[in-house]
Amino acid sequence: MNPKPSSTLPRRDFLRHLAVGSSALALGPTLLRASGAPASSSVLTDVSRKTYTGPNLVLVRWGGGARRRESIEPGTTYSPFLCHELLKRGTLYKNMEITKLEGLNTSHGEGTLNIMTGHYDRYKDIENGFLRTRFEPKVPTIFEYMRKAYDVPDYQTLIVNNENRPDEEFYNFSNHLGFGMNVRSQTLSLYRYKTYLFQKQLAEGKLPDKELKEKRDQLAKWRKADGRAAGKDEMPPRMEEFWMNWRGHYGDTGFVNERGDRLLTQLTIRAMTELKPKMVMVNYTDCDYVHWGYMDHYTRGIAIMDEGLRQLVAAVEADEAYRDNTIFAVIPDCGRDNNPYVDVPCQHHFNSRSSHEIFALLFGPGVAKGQVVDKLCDQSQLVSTLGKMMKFETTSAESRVLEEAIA
Amino acid sequence: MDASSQPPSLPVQQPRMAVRADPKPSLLKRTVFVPVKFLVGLLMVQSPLGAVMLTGWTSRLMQRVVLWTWWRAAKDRPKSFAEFVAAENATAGHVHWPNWIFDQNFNSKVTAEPLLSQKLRRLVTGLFRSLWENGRLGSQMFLNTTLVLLPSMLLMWTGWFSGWQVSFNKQYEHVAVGASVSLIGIVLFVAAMFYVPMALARQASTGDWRRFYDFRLVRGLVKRAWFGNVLVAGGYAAASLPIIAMMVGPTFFAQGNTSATELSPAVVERNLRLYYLACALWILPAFVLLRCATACLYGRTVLKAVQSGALGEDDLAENEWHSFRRLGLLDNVVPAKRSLWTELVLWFGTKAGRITAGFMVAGLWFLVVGQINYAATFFSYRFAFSWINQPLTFLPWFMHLPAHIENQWGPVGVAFFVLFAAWRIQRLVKWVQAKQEALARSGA
Repeated sequence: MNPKPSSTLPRRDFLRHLAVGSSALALGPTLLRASGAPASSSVLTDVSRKTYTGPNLVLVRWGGGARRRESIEPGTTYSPFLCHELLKRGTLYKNMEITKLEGLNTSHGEGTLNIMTGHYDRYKDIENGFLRTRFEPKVPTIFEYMRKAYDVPDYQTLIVNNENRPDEEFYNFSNHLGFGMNVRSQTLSLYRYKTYLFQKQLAEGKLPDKELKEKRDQLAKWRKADGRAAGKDEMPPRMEEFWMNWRGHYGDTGFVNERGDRLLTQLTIRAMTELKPKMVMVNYTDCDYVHWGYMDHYTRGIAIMDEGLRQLVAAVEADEAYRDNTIFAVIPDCGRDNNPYVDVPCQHHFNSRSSHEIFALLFGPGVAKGQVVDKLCDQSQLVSTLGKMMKFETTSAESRVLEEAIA
Repeated sequence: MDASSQPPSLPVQQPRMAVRADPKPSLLKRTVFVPVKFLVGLLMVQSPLGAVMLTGWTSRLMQRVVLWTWWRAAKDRPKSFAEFVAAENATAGHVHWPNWIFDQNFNSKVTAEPLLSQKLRRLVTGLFRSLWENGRLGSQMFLNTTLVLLPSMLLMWTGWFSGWQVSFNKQYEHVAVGASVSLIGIVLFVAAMFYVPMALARQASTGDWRRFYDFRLVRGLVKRAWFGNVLVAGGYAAASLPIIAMMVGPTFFAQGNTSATELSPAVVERNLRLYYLACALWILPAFVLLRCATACLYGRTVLKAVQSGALGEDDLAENEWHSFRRLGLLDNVVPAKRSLWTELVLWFGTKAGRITAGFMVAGLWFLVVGQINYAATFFSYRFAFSWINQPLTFLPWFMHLPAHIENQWGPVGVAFFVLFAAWRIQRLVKWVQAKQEALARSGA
């Protein structure tokens, strides 16, 4: 593995780090914390962290819930770019599974946390809400490992979420000792944009009374939704700047920007230009609509993801900061049923065999090319593998590494 | 007077013992034939053609129930129901429950003929008489129901489709399309279901498909029977609950069964056929009982309406008028002292009661559509079949094989072809008979 050294620290960041770092050295971390500095900037107080020079990571959650059949099998695929182009460029684990443990649900929240933490666990909503899935990771996420090991600001570790899954806004940090809020990642989603937008609109005071009240109530409701971050969840200036630019470009209506999973691609590509993330996880979702009806929502969802992936790869190849220095990992959060008794056999909650059957594709610098690995492996092995490639410890994750992928 | 109603002044047939039918079948006969008839009914639920037959069979049973309701209400009634119906040709078929294939009282009719040639003729003509009647009446009932309910079903299907398209594509500008189309469909369905059960009962009672469209009369009956309508709608809503579970059931067949995905299509088909045959154990009785309950309600409402003078004799169909006359039900009756129960029922006849009952009926029919269409489809989508058929209100067809095993439009096509061919053959036979008669007349 011979990644190019990162030369992407923006000038503005450099100056900000320098200024805050100097203050931190002068005043000491304790004094800085006591002064009420936002948690999101607390990482800047630790000057012992190394600058990250390894490869960037684009982690694509191929979901919510996609089978091998429509993804990587050439005769039946709906993702031609993934299947016919990308498989040649990296290592495919075609027999990856979500292990069968009692009480382990094969669903999106759980699958996403398996991918992010490298650890299987049973989860429940943080407030036991009915049909809510605000899961809190119990061990560190890959983002926390990276930020703990390296001096990477939170806005360069991003989770890009779909607007339909506000519960996934809770995956930014774990409750694990020594990790958590201070090494959190940031999220890009319409939910976050609306939070920013409503705050600005309230501050601008131009809204009519009725709308003013609605937006104030909505903001209060969102704040209440995650008590863990209450009072500590200030948006870092770079994120504010990102959303300000977004607002300037796409306006307030939400009707100008892309929608659904296409929006995730749009957000990611824009973030790559403006925030230069070192690690970004794109949580595609749309194919999950198949639950309630149409098979073509599933297959269209997969095709949209495929096109999104093509655009992400093209964006990486077009950007000097990312070209030849970015690892891609594509992995479903869960599979789906293959029930022969029904017309639309695409549930995934009920522990069927094919809901456990997934795959993983890795490509980029330091990854073996054109390799298909048949052996049985686990979804939880991805974090330690990526940790090894990016050179940080993943202490609480599954220790087995997907060795075949490492060139 | 309704143009199609028959005036009571028509020449009246004298009551006579039409056939030598045994009014009370033996225990042995019942032990053999009841399970056989029930099993045939279960099989009928498995295909659209069978479901049409079952609808027709139920229509004949509904006519029998209406007659039984009137017989029960008559003061000077014959000792048994069988005796009453056996006394006249037009009703003699109701001595026993309807047959699936053979003519009613088939054995008696054949043996009653004095000559061998006549016996043979009766044998041939009666061999499939019930099958024919079931198909004829079932088709008529199905077509009438389709005409009234299908538009609302199609609207609900379109609304559902549109709603999910909006969700998937996040076309928030068009969010009103799916919602409003669905709402219109639901409102139309609920409105139609105020009318359809009573209209079907009238069609069954009169044996004439045109009577389904006696809008004024049926509307009047519905208004008079608010309490009964609440019970009927409640019955449909309650009977629909297990049907959701049955529709969703196959979704869970493969759960925890790791070998399910490797089953051959033949095994999957066999398992599903057995499953749906078991489901028919609920669908068949629920469908028949709900239709019979509606027939009973129709019979009681018509009787009270006639006896109170709200309906005239002219409003009765000819066969109904004859039954009324034979049972002495045409005289006005002074209402007896009211019990608490009667008071409650009568309260539903007040304006406040009607409004309350109207909301209750609408709510219950909304529950039916919410359960069978929306809730079940949410978990197990069956394309058009999720929307254009409700087994209890429409066609009692409850068997769904996934498309990779069988194209479900195949059995539908077969049903249409068979019924259409039968209809054309009937027309041909009638044409030939008319020609023969014309030839005979010209020869004479």
